[in-house]
Amino acid sequence: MSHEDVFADRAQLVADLNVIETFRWYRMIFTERLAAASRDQDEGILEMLRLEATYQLAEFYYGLKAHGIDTENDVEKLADAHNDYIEGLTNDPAKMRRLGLSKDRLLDAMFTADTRPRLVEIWRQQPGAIDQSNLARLLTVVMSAETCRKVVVACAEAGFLERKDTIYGAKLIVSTGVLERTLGECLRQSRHRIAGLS
Amino acid sequence: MTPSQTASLLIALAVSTTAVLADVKGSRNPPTFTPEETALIKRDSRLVAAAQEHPWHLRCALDTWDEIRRSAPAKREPCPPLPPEPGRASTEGPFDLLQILKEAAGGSATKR
Repeated sequence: MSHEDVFADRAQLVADLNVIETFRWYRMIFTERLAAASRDQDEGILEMLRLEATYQLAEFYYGLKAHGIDTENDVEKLADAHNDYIEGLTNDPAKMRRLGLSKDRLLDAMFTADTRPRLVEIWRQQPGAIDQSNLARLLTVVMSAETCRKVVVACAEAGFLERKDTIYGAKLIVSTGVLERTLGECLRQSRHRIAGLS
Repeated sequence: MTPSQTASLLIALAVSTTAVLADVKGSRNPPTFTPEETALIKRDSRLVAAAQEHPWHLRCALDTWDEIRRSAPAKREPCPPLPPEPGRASTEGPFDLLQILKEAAGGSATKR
């Protein structure tokens, strides 16, 4: 990247400012719309919905939908890509520190001979369904398992996720579509705003 | 701290400090739990996981908790709930997660 003076051209600068304003508008409007869509308007629930972790959860579900990850085969590839990433991370102590993750935590986050088949089988039985512990594994890089649980509980209360008990004591999580649709709409509007700036 | 919070803490401690013994899992018969203990375990997914993965450690933790409770029966004020962790601070994590999803969908990772 060249070291041009980014403050020299006023017209460019105004366009840049509009982009940063759009970035901020996007995150603000996403949270506002999510809070408005919640069927539970309890302040405790709304507080959880405003967290960055809730946005990360929504972005994850949006990513699944937008990338068309919907078959057993896709989920197997996701588990493998996740494991490859985690394995690489365990060999990068500096990055582990930056992400606030320990090696033990990362090893717990890997899909094993026990948890990988469970991820695939649950998805096969009900496409889109992920048990809560496996969802936490997939989101390890952006939040702790406990934060994941709290966000999932709040999103279930809000009507954005279904959280069902299984006979094995696990919780099955299925998106109702609100998270990814809301994020997608905000993203589309933001992109149009930015396109209109050039 | 409430009794259930104390139990959760002890169990988490027992499980985390003895996780290296996980490879001996299944070498003994599973322990038994009272109906009260079973009800407590069912209230927390972490306890359910501990009961499945490290049942004897859970048994030990519950026994320890019971001993503490008997020796100090005075009722304590419950601790205020901890604020939720806002998420990991690094901006790399969210970018990496998008790359994992992209790779699973057959795309190639975006250069930084």
